[in-house]
Amino acid sequence: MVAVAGSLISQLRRGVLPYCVLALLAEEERYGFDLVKALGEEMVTSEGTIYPLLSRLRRDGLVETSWQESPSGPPRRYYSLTAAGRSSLAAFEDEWSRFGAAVDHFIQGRRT
Amino acid sequence: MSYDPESEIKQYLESLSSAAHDLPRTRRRELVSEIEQHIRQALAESPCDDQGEMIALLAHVGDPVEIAAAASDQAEDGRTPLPATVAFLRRPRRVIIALAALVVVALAIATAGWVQTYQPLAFAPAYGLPAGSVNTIGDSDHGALVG
Repeated sequence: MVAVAGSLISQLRRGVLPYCVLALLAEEERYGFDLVKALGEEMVTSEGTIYPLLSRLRRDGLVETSWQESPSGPPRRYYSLTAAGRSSLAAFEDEWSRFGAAVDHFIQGRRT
Repeated sequence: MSYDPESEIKQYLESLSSAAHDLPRTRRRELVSEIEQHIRQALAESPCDDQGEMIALLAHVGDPVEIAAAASDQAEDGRTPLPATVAFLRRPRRVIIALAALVVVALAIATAGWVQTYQPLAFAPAYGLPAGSVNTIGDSDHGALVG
């Protein structure tokens, strides 16, 4: 049962992670390492896996990148949201508020 | 043995690169260089004084096999996946299996042709009975019993 719950959480995480990334980037542009720290250990269990995700978001045109000098060390690749990224995020927010409310309805209904 | 952070990093990146051998070369190089930068930023933030700390840092970055698997998953979801034939030809073992199958099929066809041309007796039973003879016999027996 514990194993099932663990794989469920990792599937849920995989599904929502791209949108959590888009949501963070909607506030401000960030570089990869900074993004991983902001997402925290609940969302990112294996830090390195964020880079393939960022690469896909870029190929899908949802984020764009720019190289910027860093105050210390080598230049950093910053990620920011594109217009397509904003509308994808808005669509997800809409879906999520309906879906999340539906799930809460059953979970909280059982508790009372 | 003295602790050498550079050799730990190098070893980690090499295993990532070999785990990601399925990726197109540019994508693989990009991934390895991004992970290297990530490690260097993590080191700049919290330097590792001994091998144990370094191993813990790399464990946080993640299992190279898991990162490589995430990269090939995301590559498949991408807008421009490799055409099926190219993806197929990138795997030498599959090509060899396909060629072997092709050879087997060709041999089977050639054997069938040879048997038909030079060994007509192999099909003799099929030619031996007059057309419709089975039905004729059956009908007459049946007719006799009923009549």
